[in-house]
Formats: sequence, structure tokens, C-alpha cells
Amino acid sequence: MAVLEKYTKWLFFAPGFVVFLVVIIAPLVFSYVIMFFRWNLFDPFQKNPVFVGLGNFVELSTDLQFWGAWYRTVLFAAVVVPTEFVLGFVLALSLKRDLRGERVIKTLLLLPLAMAPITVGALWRVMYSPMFGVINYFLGFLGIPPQAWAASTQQALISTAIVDIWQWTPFVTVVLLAGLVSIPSEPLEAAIVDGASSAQVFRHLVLPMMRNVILIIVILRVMDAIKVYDILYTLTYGGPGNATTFITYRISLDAFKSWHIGLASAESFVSAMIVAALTLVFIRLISERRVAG
Amino acid sequence: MTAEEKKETAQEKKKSQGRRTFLKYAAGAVVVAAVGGAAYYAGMSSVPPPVSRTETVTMSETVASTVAPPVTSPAAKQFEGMKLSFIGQSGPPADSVQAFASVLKDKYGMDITVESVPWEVWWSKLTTELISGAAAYDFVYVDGAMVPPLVELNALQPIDDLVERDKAEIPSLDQFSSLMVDYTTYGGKRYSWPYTSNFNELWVRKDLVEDPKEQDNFEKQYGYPLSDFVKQPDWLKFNDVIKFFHRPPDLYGYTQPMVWPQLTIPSWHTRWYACTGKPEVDEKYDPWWDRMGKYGILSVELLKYQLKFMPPGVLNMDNPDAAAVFLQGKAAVMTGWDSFCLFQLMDPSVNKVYGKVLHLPPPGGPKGWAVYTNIGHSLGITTIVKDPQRREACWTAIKTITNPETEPWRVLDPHGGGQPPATKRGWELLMQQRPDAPIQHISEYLTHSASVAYGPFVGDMITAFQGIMAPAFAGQMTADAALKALAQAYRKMYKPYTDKGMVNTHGLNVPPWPGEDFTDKLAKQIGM
Repeated sequence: MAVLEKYTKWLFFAPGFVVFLVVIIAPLVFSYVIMFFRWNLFDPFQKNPVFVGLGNFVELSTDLQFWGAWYRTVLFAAVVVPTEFVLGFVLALSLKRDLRGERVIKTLLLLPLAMAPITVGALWRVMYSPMFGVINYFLGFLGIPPQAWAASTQQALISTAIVDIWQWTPFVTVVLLAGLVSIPSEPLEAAIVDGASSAQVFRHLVLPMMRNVILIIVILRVMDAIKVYDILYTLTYGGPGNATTFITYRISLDAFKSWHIGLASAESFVSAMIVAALTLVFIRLISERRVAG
Repeated sequence: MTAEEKKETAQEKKKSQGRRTFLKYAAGAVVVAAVGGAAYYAGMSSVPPPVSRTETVTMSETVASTVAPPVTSPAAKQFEGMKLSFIGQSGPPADSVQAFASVLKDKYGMDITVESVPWEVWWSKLTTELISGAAAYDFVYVDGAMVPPLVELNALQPIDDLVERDKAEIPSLDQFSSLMVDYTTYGGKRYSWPYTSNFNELWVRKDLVEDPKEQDNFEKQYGYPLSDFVKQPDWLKFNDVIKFFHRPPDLYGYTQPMVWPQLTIPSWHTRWYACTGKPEVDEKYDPWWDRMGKYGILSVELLKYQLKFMPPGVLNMDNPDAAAVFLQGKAAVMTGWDSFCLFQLMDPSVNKVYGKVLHLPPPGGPKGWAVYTNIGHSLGITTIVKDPQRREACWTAIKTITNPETEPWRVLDPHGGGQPPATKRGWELLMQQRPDAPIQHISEYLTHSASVAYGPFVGDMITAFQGIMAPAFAGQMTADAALKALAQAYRKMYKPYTDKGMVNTHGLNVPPWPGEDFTDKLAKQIGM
């Protein structure tokens, strides 16, 4: 009986762990192994993978298309994350007050979040259509000429960013609102009584108390922005030209169009390391601020 | 126990009963939903896939009896109960196979399941499943360019024995363009049967080019009659026409799809052949891209110049988007794949300029003249099919689907799928049945075509175009740099072939332009 009790917890734990191993760990390990091989699944003259050591990484170091894709991805993240954060905070602060129709507003706010990204991309593709789209139609009433939006190399990145901001600002709002609501009111009230202005209260009390929540939301949104794919696939197909060929799209082309899975694994690994480094930098920055504060 | 304690206990008991009741009903609802869902999906899997049109697919008895002889008794159906699966590119390629499913069921008793997926998905899905050996498909749609790599991967089986045995029933090979015959063979063996040609065509608004006022104004502006362009377009005249008729926002000079590499590739290839007179690669698989100097650069700059006369957003336009512009009467000229545009042009319910469209010979010059084709579609039997009876059933299906007598039906009937003919006979029948259709020259073009060289890297080619040529057309890279980068990419792609000393034996000769070499005039016209 004691033995049964001892192992019961493992019995409950085992199925989930097995699934985790098979679905997450095994493919990850496989990917980390094949990144040292030259392996094209569709090359009939080289059916077996060939060990090349760091060959794929050497190739990547001079691959302008790979680093170009990274540059555009970082640019995209640098636009969407701060914008979503600022907008989300403003919305969260507004919703913290007792507004009329608050429930309706919150429901409407969550609608973009409920849509699958691929649907969002398809929807905005139609809206952005320079010839038949509704956005240019309404801009016409303001005397603004039709814009190319996602069909312009200059505007495609910002057009994609608008879509991402539209869909994910509600998520940031909801998380920040939860953080705001959890802040105890006594320190804030005490500060006001002591003569602090709203701005001072916000800067010196609210923000520091929200630090962990802010850190989590920024990290999550940076990672999601770097991983964006569905919107690209339906909105711009990585174009025009390579204006929206971000890193995930680039890797998918190498992996599932060209079948260079060794190279694609190396690209994924390098990308994962870059994301991990960025995450560590964020955590450090916030921690240093906390120590300094 | 005090009264208060009793009250508390009763309240707790009531709460826990409430919770238990809720959990009971919730669990029951989940079980019902799960069982219901399982039953629904089990039922769905036995329902044949829906046809692409809402009405039941039927074919006239005359055509059907030509396609397959009437069965004398129900018991005589040769492949009764046999289930075959097919995967093809969505749109006309797969729709046309789906269109024949009921005929094959009626006449032979076989059930065809058609998996219709976009080209992008078809390519990934088919290759993944064939490579893994797990593909469930019995016969497949194959782009001619992919036959060799699929054969090298042991994914297709030769059909020479079937072709030889049934040569009296099937069209002779001279019914097809030599390129189609060539691209369905590899290493001297035939692996698939030609299904359709699928090439880039040129359509022009007849009402505009034949309008006397427009003709007068054009001649005054450009010094030659508009009818010269209609007789034989060349790129010099093409540019004049699209510029002349470019009157945004009501009318654009030109429209064509540009968003996917597989749409930009043919568009640019046509111009490459015309400006250089060269195919992609020579007999040693060395690319010409970086060896043609100003002629190669001209081909890129030509397409970039023509973008100015296209609708806004053209770089993001797919086939339906570009066709919609022309069908709505908002463009004077369109180029596009025949498979995806032809039957729309012939359908007055969708074509607002029905009866006002000319199909012209493709523009050519200054060096060459060729219609781009991917020597599309053929139908092959996979090596998954080992059973002789299933193989026979697949071949019967392929013969039925590709019968020239039904080729017009494929185009003209709304249930036919829309796949244009592959045989000369098919085109003749189509022109007899639709003398008004602007397709007089198409069967000539089949012999005038040039195509992409194939290899184990169709995916690499598309990726190279996406990463190199698409940015060039969008103005993100110079033409010279793009052509050099493309050549480098091609040399890397073809290395497996060149390392083995293999030679390119496939016909990729570009017919020379018979007229004047107007390279310098064209370069000046586009500001190069």
C-alpha cells in the first residue's frame, strides 16, 4: 500500500510527461542534432544526411538573406512592442476607472484576440486592398489618395505592424489591467495625501509596483513579435519583395520549400539564442533598475 | 451540535450537493459532446468530398459514352468498390479530376477521393508524404518539372507498359507539344501522362484597340497604327499600348498577378527569353543569368517599368485579384496563366467585358520569342500503388480524365473544372464549339513554348526567386546584383547534377525573334 502510494503520483505524472517528451523534447533534440548535418530531404543524389560540423553556421554567418530577415524582425518588434505597451497601458488605466458600458467595452476589446491570426491576416488583406479595400475608401472621404499599404515595400512593414498592434494590444491591456487592479490602494492614497501629483504617483509608485507584470508582458510580446508568421502568410506572403520576410518566414522557406532541414535547424537554433539573449537583457535591465531604485 | 453548527453543516451540505450536481451534469454534457463529435466525424469520413460546384456533376451522355463505353450490366463494373485517392493543386487541376469522379463511379465503380490543396501546400504535402513513404495517394498531379526528382526518390513508377498496351485508345504523342512529351519522361521512361499545358497568355481589350477614335489618337501619338500591335505584339509596342491606355483610376494599362514567386517567375521568364534569346541554363546546367549583360538587365528593368502601368497594390496581387481587375473592365491588357483565367474570360456571368477580349500572340523581341509554360500538369501513378488491379484502376482514371473528346467539356461546362486542353484535338474541338472564344492561337503556342529546367530543387528555385528576384522587381536590389545572386544560387542548386557530369538534354531552345533587334530602342523607351 505504501509502495502504491509512493508511485501513484508518478503514475498521474507519467502520461503528461511522455507527451511532453515526445512532442516537445524529442523534436527539439532532433533539431539540435541535425543542425550539424547537411540534409536536403528532396535531394535524390544525397538521400542521407552528411555531417558538416559547424558548416551550416559558417554558411549562415555570411547569409545576407538570413540576417536581413533578422533585421526586419527586430525592426518589427521594436515598433509593435512599445506601441502595444503604451496603448495597452492607456487603455488599462482608462478601464480601471468605473466607466459606463465597461463590460461592453471589455468584450469588444477582446474580439481581435479571439480571432485566429490567419483569419486576421486574411481580413486585413481585404481591408488593405488598394483598389477595393475599405480603408482606402474611407481615406478618400478625407481627401487622402489611395495607399498601397501591404503592397508597398515602404509601407508593408508598418501595415503588418498595425495588424499586430490591433490584435495584441487587448492582450497587453488585459494583463496590465490585472496588474493595476492588484496594486494595494493604501500607498497610493498615502502619497496623494502627502501631496504627490498623479504623475508622481504613477511614476514612483505604480510603475515600480507593476515591474514584474511589465517585465512578463514585454518579454511575452517580444517573443511573439519575433515568432510572427500567420499574419505574414496571409497578408503579404513575405513580400512585396522581401519587405516582410521576417525570420520565421525565412526559416519556413528553407525548411518546407527547399527542404534544407539541416540549415533550417541551424537557423532556428541561432534565432532561439538571439531571443534568449534579448530576454536576459530585459531581465537584467529591470533587475538593475530595481537594485538602483 | 448547536443550532448554529447544525445550520452551518446543512449549508455546507447544500453547497457540496450543489457542486456535485453541477459536476455530474457538466461531466454528462462533456461525454455527450465527445460521443456526438466522434459520431459526427466518423460519419463525415465516409461521406465523399463535396464537388467544387453546388450542383451534381453530370456529363452529357454523348460525351460520357465517348469517355467510357456504357456498362452492359451493373455487375460488370470493373473496379467496383475500389477507393482511389488523388492529390492535386486546387483550382482547375484538382477540380477537373473531381469533375470526373462521378463518371468513373458510374462507369467503373471506383470511388475517387480528391484532395484539393493550394500549390504551396500541395508541393509540401506531396513531397513530405512521398519522401516519408506514408503517402496515401494512388495517383497524383505532377508539375512536369518535378518528374525527375520524384523519380529519383522512387516516388513514381513508369507507365510505358500501359501506354504501349493501350496506344490505340490514347492520343498519339504528336498531339502534345514536344516539351510536354519530354517533361513527362525521365531516363528514357515515361512516368506521367500529359494533362494540360498551362502557360502564360496575353489578353487585350478588343473594344479599346478596335475603337476608331483610340486608333486615331494612338497613331498620332506613336506614329504607327494600333493594328500593328494586334498583328504581332512586341515589347516595344506593348509598352506604348499600356502607357496609352493607362488612365487611372478608371482604367489601368496592364494587370497581372505578382505576389507569389511562381507567378513572378513566368512573368519575368517570358521577358528574359525575349530580351536575351536564351533559356535559363545551358547544356552543362550553367545558368545564363549573369552572362547576358545588358540584355539580362533589360529583362528585369522591363518588368519594373511595366509595374508603373499596373493597378496599385499589384505586388500583392494573386491570380484572382489581377483577373478581377481585368474582368471588371479596369485594365486594357492582362497576362496570366491560362488555367486560371481562360474559362473566367469565357463566362459572361463573371466577365464584365465578355466578347470584348482578344487573345493575341505573346509579345516577343528583341532577341527571342517564347511563351512561358511550366509544362504543367501531368498525372502520374505513385509507387505506393503496388497492387496490379489498383494500378490498372489508376490508369483507367487517367485515360478517362485526359481523353481529348472531353477536353472542351472541361473548359466549357461549369462543372468541368476549367482545365484547358492539352491535345491539338482538344483545342480543335474547343474552337469548334466556341468559335467566339479568343483562343485561336493557343495550340500554336504549345510548340512555341519554353519552360523552366527541372531538378531536385524546385523549392530552391522558388526560394531564390522570393529572396532575390522579387526584391529586384520591388526596387530593393539592382538588376545586376540580382542576376548575379540568382546565378550563384542556381550553380549551387545544380551542383548535384554537374558533380555527376550530367548533361541537360531537355529542349529549352528559345525561338529567335524574326523581326528587328530593337534592344537599344527598348532600353531607351524604359529609361535604362
